[in-house]
Amino acid sequence: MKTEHISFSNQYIIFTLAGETMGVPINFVREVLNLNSHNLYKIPGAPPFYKGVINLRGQVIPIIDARRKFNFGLNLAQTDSPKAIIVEYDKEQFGLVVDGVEEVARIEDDCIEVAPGHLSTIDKDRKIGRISGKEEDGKDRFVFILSKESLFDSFDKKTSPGQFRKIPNETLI
Amino acid sequence: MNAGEEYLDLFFDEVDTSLEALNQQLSLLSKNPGQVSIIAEIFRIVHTVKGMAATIGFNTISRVCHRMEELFDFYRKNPQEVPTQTIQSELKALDGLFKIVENLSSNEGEESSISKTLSDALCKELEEELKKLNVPKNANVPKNTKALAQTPIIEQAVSRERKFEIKVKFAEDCLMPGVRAFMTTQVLEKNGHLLESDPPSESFLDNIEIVSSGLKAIITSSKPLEQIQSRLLKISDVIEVEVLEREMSGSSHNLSAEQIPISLPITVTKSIKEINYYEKSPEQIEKLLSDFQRHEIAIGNLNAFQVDLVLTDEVVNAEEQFFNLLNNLNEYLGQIIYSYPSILELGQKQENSSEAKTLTNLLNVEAAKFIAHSEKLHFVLLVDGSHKNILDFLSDACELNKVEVKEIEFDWQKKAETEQSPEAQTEVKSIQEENKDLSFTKSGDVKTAFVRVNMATLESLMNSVGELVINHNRIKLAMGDGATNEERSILQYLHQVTTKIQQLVMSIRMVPINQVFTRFPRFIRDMSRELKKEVLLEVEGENTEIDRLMVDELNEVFIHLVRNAIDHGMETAEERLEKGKSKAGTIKMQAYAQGNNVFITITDDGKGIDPQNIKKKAIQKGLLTAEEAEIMSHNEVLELIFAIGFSTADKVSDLSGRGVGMDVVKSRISSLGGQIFINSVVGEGTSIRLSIPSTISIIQALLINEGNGLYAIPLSQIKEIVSINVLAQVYEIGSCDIILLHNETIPLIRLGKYIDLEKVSENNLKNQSNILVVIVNSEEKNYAFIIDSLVGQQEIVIKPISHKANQEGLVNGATVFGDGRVAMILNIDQITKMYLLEHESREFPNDDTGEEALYWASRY
Repeated sequence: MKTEHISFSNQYIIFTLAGETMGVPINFVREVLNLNSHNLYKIPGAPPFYKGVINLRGQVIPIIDARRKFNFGLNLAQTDSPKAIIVEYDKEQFGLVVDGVEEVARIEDDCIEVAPGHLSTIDKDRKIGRISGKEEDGKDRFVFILSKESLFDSFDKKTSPGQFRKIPNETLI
Repeated sequence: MNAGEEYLDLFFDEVDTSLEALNQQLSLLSKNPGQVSIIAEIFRIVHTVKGMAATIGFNTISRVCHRMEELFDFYRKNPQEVPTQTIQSELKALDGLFKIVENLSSNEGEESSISKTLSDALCKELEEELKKLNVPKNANVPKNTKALAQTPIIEQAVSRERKFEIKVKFAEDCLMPGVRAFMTTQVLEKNGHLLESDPPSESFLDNIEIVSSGLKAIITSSKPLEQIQSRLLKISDVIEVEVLEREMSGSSHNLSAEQIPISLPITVTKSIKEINYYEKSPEQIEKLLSDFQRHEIAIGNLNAFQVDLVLTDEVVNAEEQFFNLLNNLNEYLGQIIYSYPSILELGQKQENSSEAKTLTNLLNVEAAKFIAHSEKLHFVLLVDGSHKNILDFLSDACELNKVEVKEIEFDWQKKAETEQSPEAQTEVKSIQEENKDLSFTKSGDVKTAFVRVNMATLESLMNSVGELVINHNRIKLAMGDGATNEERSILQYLHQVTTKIQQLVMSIRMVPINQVFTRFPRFIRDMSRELKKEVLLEVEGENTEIDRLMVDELNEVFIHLVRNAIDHGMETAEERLEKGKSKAGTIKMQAYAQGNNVFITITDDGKGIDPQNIKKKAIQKGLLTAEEAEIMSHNEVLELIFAIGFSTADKVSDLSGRGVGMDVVKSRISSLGGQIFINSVVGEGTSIRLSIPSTISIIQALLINEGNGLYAIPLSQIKEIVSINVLAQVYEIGSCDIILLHNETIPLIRLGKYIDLEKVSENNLKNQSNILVVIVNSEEKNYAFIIDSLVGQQEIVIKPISHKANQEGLVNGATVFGDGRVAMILNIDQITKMYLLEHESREFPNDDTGEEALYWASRY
């Protein structure tokens, strides 16, 4: 058996969202759980990409709808059993709704590079990572890497009251 | 967190508390510059801080403290009024210390160049002050040194001893030079009599220059020179010992009776007591006392006490605390004639354990042993005072878990007589036996002790209690109606216990609002000096309790309000006299509790706020039009100062009017779930009233259903719940609906419109005959919220919701129920604000009569 220094720094939780494969750094993730929409409670006045809050062992945790947050794949059908990846940012926990969680994978730093133009709505750095030989035909698999900042930066700025109030012709969630 | 950091945290915590206390005392002193008790207290605090800093090796702090201490020592010994200039310098030094501590704490205990420069500057300034007094360096113990020199004269007269001058040098990397020096003198005491030391032993602990200057001592001893030298060299970190024999001075040989010092009963026996440190058996106390008495000339009315104390578990540096405590007791209170463990042992242990800590090597078995056996201290103390003096001193000095003070009955007179006759030796023994039985029976009162708790721990305890409450409700729900009697009684008991725990935890979190108020005397002093206005502070209800979590938040708010009051509100002394007011203005801070709320008022008797100025400014800033301004009521105008970006200061001073204004104060208060009101009369002053919930984690709330959701409204804001007849009581005025209730017009708000995005908010009132409304009070105005149905009243635990998800602040958090459901706690103030915003930033007329409403109706 190989003895190897185990480091979380290069490990990623790989998940699917609207047909895309993505990864988040594992040290940013607290846990993964099944999301039951009955247990979601809406937050009045919250930005529209918040589906609501859940009660996780007594803690009230806001749930972010990743599709809406990144504004893509909205027309694709959602899975029946969405998962929530609980992430920690700024000492607060948030849930990120995704279609499915696949695995924990190692992606070395030198396998991460800037992606071509698509998906730029998500993250301005557009990083993709390569996992060797993971596809069925033995090809390398490419995943989109989500940074902490991409989830939270864009709405950290102070927003004026009412900004999220008028949503054009869309029923929420 | 490793042990070193924990130790640091403790240090910072202690230092903060001490500096805060110092701040308070200095402010007091500025009012009574001659009061000896304050000076003594300041001296004590500075001394403590110095000791703590020196122990942990923060020279930047200890150096400044040392000089502060010297200054006050002068006034302590020479009672007179402390000049304002000196107090000013001390205050400046204190500010500097705060900065250094902050700097240290942000650098995780590393002394940065900033703090060093600051420390140098402060030292220099304090030395200037010292020069004015003509106090030589290390002059803080002149009397004691003299006394020490005179002490052993009695013994000298009878023994054949030689006099030595000894110079000891310490290694430069010596970790605890003070303790080394102390050990050196202990060795000297053991081998002879210490006549003098430079620096004097009282200032060892905190004298860090000892490394460079070394220690000089003069002793008399019958032991050979070489023996003394070799014993001294055995002390670690002592690298060089020089021993010179001196001529005995003639005067000490021919000692006449008149020269025996009579007026120094305590210091005179220093040498005797230190010899006795090695005695460990409590049975010998009697003997100690009589020994003590034999050498004592003026025994006075000293009482002997036996003290046992136990420190709280949190204390990691008990050895050090004991060491300092014993030294302080000796210096300030009385005379320790015996202690277990002894001062010497403690000094050594302290050194060992701090070395271990420095190496962050607490797992080291040696060090761990010291920590484990360290919480208990036993000592016998002679003091001119009572139980209370000792208890007060002890509880100030350290964090006690338990303390027991017993008076030892000891008949000085009788003893003295029996001792005098050698024939009575046997009798003495029997009396001693008797006394032994009697001596420890008089027991003192046991003082309850305080425990310092980390706020995070308390917070997590609070959360767990919240869980307990929730789960209790779950069990109740799960058992339903089918519960047996026994189950019911268990549940009942569980309920009682849970409630009790909850109350206890709540009470732990509550602190007197004084914690916020204490910094203001100083703050006001500084500000009034700077602005050349005379201001007095009056404080009322400082014992009103608030949640500890609010203290920091309120601090900033109050600083802002008080700053405004002095800068904008107060006139200068000349202006005041012209107006026929007293020369000095008054700022009054009052606090009282009512129900679940605490009300705090800050009142000044300054010039008040001129509504015309506000109107002008608001129009100028485009906040409202001249026409709107025209029809606003006095209070409405005043409340404009809470509008975002509003500031009436004509000139922007250094202290206030920097653009962050009352709007920030207001949002801060409402984030705490509180409200703010203002009242002002031109020429008479301004009063700002805050109403905040006394606690921010458990509140009484009304649960309601609206749309598809369950919501909670804080009960403190609810006035009543009524069913309204749409036809008879609802009026439509412009874009608003109002209801007429008890002859009052109240805006009618569709709650669902603001909190539930799914709910269709069509105007369907006319289809209903009756609607259920909750009348709530927000910022002294009433609003009626239409709700679907009532669920009930319940005590709820507030769980915070990330600000990111609650940017509009429509909720104040959420609560979790026993069945796992979540309800949002509505922020009524914010919702009414949105309502007002929507209706063109204009508040709806809210006056007492229906006629008024009709008038408004016609106007619109």
